[in-house]
Amino acid sequence: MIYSDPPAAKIDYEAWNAAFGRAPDAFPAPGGGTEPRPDYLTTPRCFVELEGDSRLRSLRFDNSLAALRLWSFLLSENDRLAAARRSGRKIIGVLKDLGTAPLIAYAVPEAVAFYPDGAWWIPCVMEMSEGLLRIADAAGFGDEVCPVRAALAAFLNRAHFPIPDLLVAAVGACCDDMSCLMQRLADLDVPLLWWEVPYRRGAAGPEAVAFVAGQLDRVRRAVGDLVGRAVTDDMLSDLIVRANRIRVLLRRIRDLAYGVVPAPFPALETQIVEMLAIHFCSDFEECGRVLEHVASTLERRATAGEGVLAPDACRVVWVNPVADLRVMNLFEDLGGALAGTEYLFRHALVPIPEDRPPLVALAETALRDPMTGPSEDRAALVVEEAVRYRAEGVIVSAIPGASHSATEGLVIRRRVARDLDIPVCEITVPPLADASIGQLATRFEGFFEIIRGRRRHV
Amino acid sequence: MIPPGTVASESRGETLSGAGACAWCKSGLGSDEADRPWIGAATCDQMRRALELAGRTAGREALIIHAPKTRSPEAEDYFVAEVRWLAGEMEKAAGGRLDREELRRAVVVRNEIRGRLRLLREALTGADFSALIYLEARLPAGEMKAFLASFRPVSSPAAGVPALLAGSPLTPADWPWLDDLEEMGLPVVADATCTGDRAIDFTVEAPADEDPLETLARGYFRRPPCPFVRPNDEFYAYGADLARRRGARAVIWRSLRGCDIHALEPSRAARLLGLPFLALDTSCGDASSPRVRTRVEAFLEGLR
Repeated sequence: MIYSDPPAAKIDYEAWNAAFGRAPDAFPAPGGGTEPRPDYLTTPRCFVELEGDSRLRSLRFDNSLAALRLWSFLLSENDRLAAARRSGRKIIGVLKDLGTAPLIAYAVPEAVAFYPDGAWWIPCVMEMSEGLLRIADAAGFGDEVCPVRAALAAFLNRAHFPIPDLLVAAVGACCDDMSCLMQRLADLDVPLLWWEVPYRRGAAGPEAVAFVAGQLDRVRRAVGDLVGRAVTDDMLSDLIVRANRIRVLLRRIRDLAYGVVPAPFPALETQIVEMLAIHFCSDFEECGRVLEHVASTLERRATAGEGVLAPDACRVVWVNPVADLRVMNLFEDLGGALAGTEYLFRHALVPIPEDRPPLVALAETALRDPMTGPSEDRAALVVEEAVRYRAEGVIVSAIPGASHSATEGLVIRRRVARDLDIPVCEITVPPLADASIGQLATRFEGFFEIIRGRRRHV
Repeated sequence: MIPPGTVASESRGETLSGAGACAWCKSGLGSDEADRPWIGAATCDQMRRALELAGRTAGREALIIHAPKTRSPEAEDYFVAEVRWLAGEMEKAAGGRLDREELRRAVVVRNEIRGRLRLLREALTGADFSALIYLEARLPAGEMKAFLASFRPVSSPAAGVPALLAGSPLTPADWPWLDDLEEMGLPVVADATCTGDRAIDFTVEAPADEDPLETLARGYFRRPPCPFVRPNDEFYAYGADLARRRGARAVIWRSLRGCDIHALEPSRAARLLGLPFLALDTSCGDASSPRVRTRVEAFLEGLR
């Protein structure tokens, strides 16, 4: 029997578990046909009861098979890393650069890369039951530090991901919190390679590109030493072509998710989709299949005019990822719809040049990291996004304690006001926002009132 | 620029940046001189963002160069290129050419000044030394040299438990605090902040046939590093050696509020410096507050 998704909707945890029971044995394969159900697909209840991911109980999810697969793929990453270690593959922990260094690791099948930085979601997903922030506090990384401090704690208690065989730490024009965190990790008994991405003034000049290409060559040699064979230019070029296919796919998904009314995919799931771009959730090939599945689901919904949100939802560009996933639900429940994002890794979404030496291409891409350039450049990306997806407002979700968040909101607000004359709302989202939900709800409601009021005025 | 470090300047700067910015950057943004053209280095994330804001506030984009965080030959070469770019931009802004010979002479004079300050160092109180570093940062080389020629220390370090000071840089508003420490029996005999001994513990080599800009860049790149470099073990090696040379028996680590680079280091610093350790966290103007004073007194009790 051919499986078909129910009409697009958001469902709660219980309905989501029931949906798992209806999941077919055959899944759509890229390019047509079917393939066996992925082995990581598990009932959401398993993640709650066996892994302690209790936050899932209070979230609302997209009801498609593609979304179920997406979530299972995301939440099963540690199992994949553990399996990779058992099979003798080397695990590379990549820190901070968000999108470039993992490509070098994925150029050889003997290595797998992941971002320990991603541990910043653990306190939310496990609703603080894991004690990571308490451990970070005791290590001197208290509330004044970005929630990424959970990554330090995850290294200290060794309970959340396999300790990598090599850490690759991008420093230079990066946030101060992360730089200090990486310095602490350097004290642990894990080999750590520093590489540097400099501050750029506007577009990166040839000197910066050459410098970063040299830095990436050091990463390449370290990966080669770890796996016992050289990572060649040909391997990197091949990987760049394959990575670009994923980036093109992401572009398609973003255009559908943010450009189509009614929105065919919820904010929470699109955030996860974008996150896959930075390290492919530890399985490059499967990541492509998961994204293909999402893209075809969204195309079908867009064609049928199916959406998960009201057609008159307020269209907003969202700046910075949130540590508490529930806030994205809240945003939509109160009448918001994403019309673009700037999650700090735009460079992981754009195509990598294929017509030049691969390290140069990767260097140019790394230097497009919004963190490496002036705040004004990042503000311009927000404006671009707002224009592309016809946004009616911008929400800057400041990351508590993050060095860039201290001043960036102001710059974005001014730029948006100057170029677009649409309202900007600045909020701060803690790792677990339960205590702030009322306040955030009021902020969202007020903001949407402004947007609706402007519609009436226009 | 060394910001005034006053409560008023920090408050004024906060209106231009945000509450989360570090106190040093806020005070700089809120200083009376903030309307002048800005040049600076992206040392830490907050500093470069503050420079961007400062430029915008002053109405002329700040000239910002990258301060490398790693210490490789490639990073050093990159810093040389950055300094050359800066010089070119300054030439454009000033509408003239950099006088290489004048720069070469200034490098030599600055070396002499640093040498003289090193000679004076152990006869100075913490506050007097910090004040001289402040002057050195502000005065043209010739004027500073002339000032030092007639300078004689007016006071000498008090008895007590000699201390190494480290952490965030000092501002003029911190000098009374240094005097307080001295009076309480904790004279600062070694200062590993950016505005302390690290500012004079180096010499810029000046071979006659080398471009003085390159000489200058390499000299500054190789000087005792700030804790922002990665890895920063070299900073701690310097600090431990400085403490040993000066006979320091305790460490005061003062972080300005909002400065991650210093505020997140105390546990490593305490371990790597290996001396009794007091970590303080202050805003501009509250280093001499009763809260801090009580903590210093308690720390001293434990040392006696």
